[in-house]
Amino acid sequence: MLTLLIIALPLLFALITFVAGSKWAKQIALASSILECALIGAAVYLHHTGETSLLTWDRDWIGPLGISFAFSLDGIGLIMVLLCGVCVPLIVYSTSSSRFRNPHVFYGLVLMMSGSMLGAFAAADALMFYVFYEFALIPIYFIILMWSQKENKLAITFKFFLYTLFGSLFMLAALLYVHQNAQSFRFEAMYVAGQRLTALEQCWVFAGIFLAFAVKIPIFPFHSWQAPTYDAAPTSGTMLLGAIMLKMATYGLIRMIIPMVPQGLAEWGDIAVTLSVISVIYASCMAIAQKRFKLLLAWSSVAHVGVIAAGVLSGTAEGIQGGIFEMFSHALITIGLFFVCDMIEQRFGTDEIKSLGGIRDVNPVFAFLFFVLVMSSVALPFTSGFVGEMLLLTGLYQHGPLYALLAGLTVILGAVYMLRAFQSIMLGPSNTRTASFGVLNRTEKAVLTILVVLTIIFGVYPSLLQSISAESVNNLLLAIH
Amino acid sequence: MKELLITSLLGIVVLTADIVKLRKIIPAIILLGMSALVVFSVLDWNNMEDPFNNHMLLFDHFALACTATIGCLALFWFILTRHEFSQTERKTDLYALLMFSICGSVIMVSYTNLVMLFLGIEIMSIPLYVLAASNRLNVRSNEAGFKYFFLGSLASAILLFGIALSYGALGTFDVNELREALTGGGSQPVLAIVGVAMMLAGFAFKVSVAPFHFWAPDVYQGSPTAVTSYMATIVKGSSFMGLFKLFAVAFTPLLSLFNLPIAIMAALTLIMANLVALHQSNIKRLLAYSSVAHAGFMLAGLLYANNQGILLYYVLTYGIAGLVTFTALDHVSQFQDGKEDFDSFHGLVKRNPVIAGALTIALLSMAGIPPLSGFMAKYFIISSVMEGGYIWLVVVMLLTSVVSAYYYLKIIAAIFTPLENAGRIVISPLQRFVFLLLTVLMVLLFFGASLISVIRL
Repeated sequence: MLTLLIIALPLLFALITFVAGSKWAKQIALASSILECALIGAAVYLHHTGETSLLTWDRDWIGPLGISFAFSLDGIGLIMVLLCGVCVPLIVYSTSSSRFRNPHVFYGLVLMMSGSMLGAFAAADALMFYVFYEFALIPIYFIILMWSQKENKLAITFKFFLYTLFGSLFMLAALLYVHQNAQSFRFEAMYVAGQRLTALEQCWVFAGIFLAFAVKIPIFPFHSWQAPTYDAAPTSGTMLLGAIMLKMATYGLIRMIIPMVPQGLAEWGDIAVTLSVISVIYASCMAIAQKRFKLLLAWSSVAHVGVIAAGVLSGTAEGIQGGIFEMFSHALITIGLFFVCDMIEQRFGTDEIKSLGGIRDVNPVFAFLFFVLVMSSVALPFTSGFVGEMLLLTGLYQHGPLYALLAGLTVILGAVYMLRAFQSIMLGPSNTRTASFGVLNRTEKAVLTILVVLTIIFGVYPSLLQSISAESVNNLLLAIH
Repeated sequence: MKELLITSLLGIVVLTADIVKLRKIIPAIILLGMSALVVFSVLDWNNMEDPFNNHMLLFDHFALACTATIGCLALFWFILTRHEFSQTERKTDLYALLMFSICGSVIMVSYTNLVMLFLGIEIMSIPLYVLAASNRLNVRSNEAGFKYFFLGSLASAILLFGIALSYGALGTFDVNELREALTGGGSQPVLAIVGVAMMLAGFAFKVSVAPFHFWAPDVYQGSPTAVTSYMATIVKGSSFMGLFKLFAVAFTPLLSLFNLPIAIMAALTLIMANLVALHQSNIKRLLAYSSVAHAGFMLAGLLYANNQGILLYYVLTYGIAGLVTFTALDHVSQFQDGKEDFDSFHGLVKRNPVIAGALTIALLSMAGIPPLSGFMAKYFIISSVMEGGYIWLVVVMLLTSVVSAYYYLKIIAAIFTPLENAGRIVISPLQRFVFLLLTVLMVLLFFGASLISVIRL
């Protein structure tokens, strides 16, 4: 019941925001997303106390075809939902100083997007997952199309939409294939049916599902839509894409591949892990070569999620736990860094790294907050980034030491591009442009402080999150016979 | 039976109203009549009638569900295209022709005798030949009427030949007796198989399936847009339901022979229509090709012909989306001196947000994006094809869906391209309401997809 409410609330408020008009749009969006966060907090509390009956909702929808309207929140889903609940208010709040044309449409779309992603994270039925996974494309497509400043946004949005649609249709085909043997789309039934398939069938199902997620995550060589799209999207759109939307795909790897086609993963999984590792190194090198900060962040995001994908696909408990943790941590860091980039771009009209410098002298508070986020991004101990990456690399090491070694390059290469960027943006003498940086306004200070505090809390007490998902991860692995 | 009486009387009443100078009330009569058609087909649901007139027509659940769908679509269609007809002087003739055409489509979904099937298809088509050419001063409209008439008559002749052959082989026109004759004996007569193949070809023409679709883009483009939207939704839908009944009731034993040809035709239709649609610059022609592409999907729903619900759901879903797209195009091009290219859609979101919203949702629904009914419709068909084991057809369907998403997105992008100093597009409040209603329906039908299990033959 509570789960259904969590999904329905943002969608309902999206409608209200559309109708209410532009005057109160931002306030409605912010209030509803905070309310949503509180509801999710209640769900976490219920999970903690073991009262999980409120967290599941299961009704037959189209009985004869085995489609059900089923949602439930176990530990893994709960963390993803929590991620959504924490990030959306921050994203909405971070837009406080921006002026949008037609704000009611904009905030309506943001809420719609959050509703669809929550639906995907809470789904207990594979078709429901697919429906919400695809649904999220509609709002983000319009967010980019209508609020992008780029000249060639049409071509970029086309590529983004069609590429991801193309990928997900293969997932649909794969799911249908498993469904034929399961007669139900509920995950438990799909797991049993999937594991009964022959090894070769499992391989093809694995390939279909992996293709869909590989496009969305994105993993080399399916990444070509990502950097231009991140660049073209308005900052809050980039945050939604990078912090939450792609997590649907990495979450999907955990939920749909590992327990459903374990043999397929065993046989063809190494190809996927190799691709993920290639994408880590390739994206890190691309990030080093970037001249603009937003593009650098876009590529760095590819590198980080590459590690997540590789760790999760290793199929080890540590890898999965680390993946879940890193998804959360990566979301916080992504929002923070893109917000920093937006602040710089708003003030100077450019995010070209070379043309900046010396902002620390002008605003040391900003420099400190930014620095913590950078440190977390390069996985310094006592930040959340460290815990996630360590667990992921441990999992990957159990799977194959070489993979761990190569994927571990992300920490080194990450330090190279992040520190270099930080250095040329913040340090050195300030020039005529950066001298006018000024002070942080209330919103900026609040958002960055919250993010920095959260990354440090989860870096110091990782068990806050891990205890939620640990049991579910074990159950998931136990489901593989 | 009431349903057929209502539609045929409606045509006559419209004609008489013109003679006795009551032109003003004709729209009201038609609205009332169409609503009555829907209401009666819903009310009759639980009291099954006996087959009418020596097993000529039977209004069972299948026929009632189809009739209600036709009635709803016709009602919406009538409201959304009223402006187009109200400008001409001969509107009563055109309305009367349309009512007769709807009467034909009701016969097509309720026949139990192949003679009635032929009558139905002719009653439905002959008014259309006139309607296609109803824009007398436009060369393209004349061309459309001419082309449609010649090719349509040929198709009807082939269909009739097929019916005659199967009568010659099996000695009956009645659908149930046909099935018994085919299941009883050991071998299936070759003449009957050839007959069914010819019927399939005749129908394939009517529903514009490759390789019998070449007339469709020209006719759809040339006809007045109001007529096109009628042809693409109601005519196509009822023809498919008629074809379904042919396979599901009469020639079920022969079905296994025809599964592969149907699958190949569906794949061909999907590939050709979608690839050609990519290069269209005229939106009406593009939508015509998209309509052909959807026919490919519906044809795939005929494989095994064991679930009429999914086909009817597709007909309803595509019907709604098709109505919205064609009528929106009609409204847009009227305010653009009849221009129908991508540019004429620029700034639509400012010029009329209701049409823009409805059109966007309709295009996304046709592209098959959840949570819109078009996704469910495609999903049902794909899943039934998958169960039948035609995985290659599933792959074709998925890939062509992506291709189709490209040209639908192109229209959506045009809608949201800003345009300076654009005048507003004015529509009547009732049309506004129907556009909004259809938008909501496209979302609600997604959640109401369990309706498909209601209908059983």
